[in-house]
Amino acid sequence: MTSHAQRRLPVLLTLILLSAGLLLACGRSSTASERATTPEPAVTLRGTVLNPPRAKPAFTLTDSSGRPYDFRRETEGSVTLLFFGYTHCPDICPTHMALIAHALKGLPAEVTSRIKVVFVSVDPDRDPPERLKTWLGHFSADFVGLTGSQAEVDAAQTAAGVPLAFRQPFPNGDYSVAHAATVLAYTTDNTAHFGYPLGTSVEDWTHDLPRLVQNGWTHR
Amino acid sequence: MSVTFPTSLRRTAVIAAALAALLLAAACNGNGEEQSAVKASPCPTPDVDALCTSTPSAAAAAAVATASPPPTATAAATATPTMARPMASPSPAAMSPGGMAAASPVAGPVFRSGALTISAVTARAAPAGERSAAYLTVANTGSGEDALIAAASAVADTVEVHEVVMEGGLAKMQPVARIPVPAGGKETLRPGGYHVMLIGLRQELKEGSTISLTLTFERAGAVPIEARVITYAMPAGGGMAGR
Repeated sequence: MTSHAQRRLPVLLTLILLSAGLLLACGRSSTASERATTPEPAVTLRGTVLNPPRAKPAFTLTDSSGRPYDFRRETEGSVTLLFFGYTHCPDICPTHMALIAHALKGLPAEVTSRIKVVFVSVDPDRDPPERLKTWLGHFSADFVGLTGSQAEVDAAQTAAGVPLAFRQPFPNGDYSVAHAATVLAYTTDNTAHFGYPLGTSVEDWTHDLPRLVQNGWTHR
Repeated sequence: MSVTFPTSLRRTAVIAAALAALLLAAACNGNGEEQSAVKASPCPTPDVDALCTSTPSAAAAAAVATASPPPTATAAATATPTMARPMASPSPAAMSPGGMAAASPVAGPVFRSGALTISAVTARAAPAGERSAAYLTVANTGSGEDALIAAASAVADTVEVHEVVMEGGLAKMQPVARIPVPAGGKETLRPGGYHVMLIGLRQELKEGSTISLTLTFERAGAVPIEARVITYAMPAGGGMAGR
């Protein structure tokens, strides 16, 4: 009997190890199927995953020097942060711009040189190029300000897949503008895998920007 | 039914099985960590038209909750849900006036009136004729709720208390009649949440200067305060309300 049991021991061990291996494989198999439906590549970022990811839109608007700016072409090869706002915005727009600018100041040049920040006015009547230039200059001379006709900036929003901004009149005839509050972050594959909503902090940007630059997303 | 494989073959089988198990585990583990990171901030409603942040999103809150605190913040401040949901009634322990002052890069003078303590008062620098917004924290050590119901300042034509609400993926600003400050609690006015809006500035708000404001509360009445003007700089806590 003893010899019989001894002979069976390796078989049992084999079965146990095989089972363990199968269990591990099965346990991960759901992860593998999820991966097929989540944006790739998956990395540890604090931004909100955009599912599905957004293709970088193609539009041409007027930059703050009054020249045409082909968004797709000008930002090719750079990590591009795209935000739709307006300069009379008292709260969200200046805060996003200030926090991004602050984070960029603390990052090394090899990272910041590969990042472009593009601010598209959704209030073109009050945001001519020179005003955009002055306003963005409060944050960074490197930020790109774009404006155009209302139809052009509306088309740009549609192309980027954000809900269209609209005016909210004040009783005194003034108005504010309701607008998308998320910064879209396009990587060098010309795709936004992540958005940065209200609540994104300097620490979040400082954490994510180098990873957006260095994660190996390439042109596809 | 006893197995009669040669011993050497059995050993080989055991070793092969063990190796297979190890390889499988290693292969899966390589991506498992990344995957869990993505799952930490999922798009709650994959919506083609609206950004996934268009719904009040746990992901947005998570983004704030995972933010590192300012260098001097306490561990308690980091862990508190008030970082993610500043509009909710925070627990008194989460951000005591002292804690707030320590945690905030914009801490300044503290103003007291009765049961209320108002701290971290800032206004955003802006040219004359433009708009600005003021932010602050109100703590209520009293036994009854109080509420901010109005604000005034000589530096602007119109001063209103506003809040930002997310609707259909759009951030909208709207006047708010009262901002409650619960008994033993506090409320923070910060970007993306509540703010005191200064419309039609009669003077330039210059960085480093201070401006006078008067807040009116239901119980405490009028409370004069001063806001330090900062150039598009960090609001209290270094981030926005994640709503």
